[in-house]
Amino acid sequence: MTSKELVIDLLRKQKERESTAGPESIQGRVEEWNHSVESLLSRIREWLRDAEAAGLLTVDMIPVEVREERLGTYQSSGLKLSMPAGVSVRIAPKAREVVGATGRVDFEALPKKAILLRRDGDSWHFAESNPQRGGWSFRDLTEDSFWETLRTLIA
Amino acid sequence: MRQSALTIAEDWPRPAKVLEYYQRSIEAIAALRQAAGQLGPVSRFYGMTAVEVDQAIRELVAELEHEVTMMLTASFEAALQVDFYDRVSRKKKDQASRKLRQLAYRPLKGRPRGVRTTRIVVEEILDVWMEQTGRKQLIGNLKQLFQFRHWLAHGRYWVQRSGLSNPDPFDAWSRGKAVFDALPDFDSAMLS
Repeated sequence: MTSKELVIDLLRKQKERESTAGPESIQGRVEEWNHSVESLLSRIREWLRDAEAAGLLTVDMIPVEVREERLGTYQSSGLKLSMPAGVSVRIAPKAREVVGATGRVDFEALPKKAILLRRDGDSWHFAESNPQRGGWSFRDLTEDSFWETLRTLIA
Repeated sequence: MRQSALTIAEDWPRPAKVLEYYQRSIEAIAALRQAAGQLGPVSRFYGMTAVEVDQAIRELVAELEHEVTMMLTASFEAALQVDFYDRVSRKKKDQASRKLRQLAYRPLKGRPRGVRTTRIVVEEILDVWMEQTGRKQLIGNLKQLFQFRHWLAHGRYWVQRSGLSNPDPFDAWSRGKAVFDALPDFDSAMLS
């Protein structure tokens, strides 16, 4: 086979592999990731329910378009929290393919940002910048850590 | 006779210092945003609507993230170069040190034998580490970041094709840290 034929053959096999439905295909990875994000957003909505019912903030689902080198462009969902003082927090997936993790969701309240990483299956952790310790440290996502993160973002 | 090629500075901005700068800058921008409504006519923000202020803040953050990503990547390069220099100087017998020494003293046209290259391109050091550790994906991720850094550092005048759409300091840090964690006997104190 010529080099061209070898490359074409390799590309054909890669395409076949990627088009096969399953957790390893692009489509499978995007679906799995979107499912995980939706489940995360449901948890967050649940934690916010009391504050929302008391009229202290509003929570809206927002469409999010994500672009990734390996997964291409796909549609996902996020949340927009609007506070009485006009501050808003956008919670949205940033990427599925992340170094050292299997997904990243950002909490953005201009100009601040908090980073939530999915690691070890479906377990979520906030990455907290800690320059004194040489970078970032990680904290499990719990209702407490969620509220603390929110406080830091809107303070 | 072999001669030393360059003198390593006693102090250089460690990644932790760059991250501290990032955190302080974000805090300062947050304070600016809060105070924007009270700023007087001498301010660049005077007369802006809330939407315009937010847009200006968004642009400040975007530029800050580029700047910090560039500095953080430069700091990673410094750590890799200092580590390289140290391994070459100590003349250790392990395979990685031997390969790095070969890189440092490889014969080049116009240079006498046994004289070390003034400065080795960081990608070449990473190539040795890729071969020695077998961590192609991790090291490829960091090389992508270096491509992005070159684009930033050279004025962004070409269409950026590193494959990274918009890395922020956390992305950059993750890529560097993953490689440093994979290098045998790497002195992690260099990061903080």
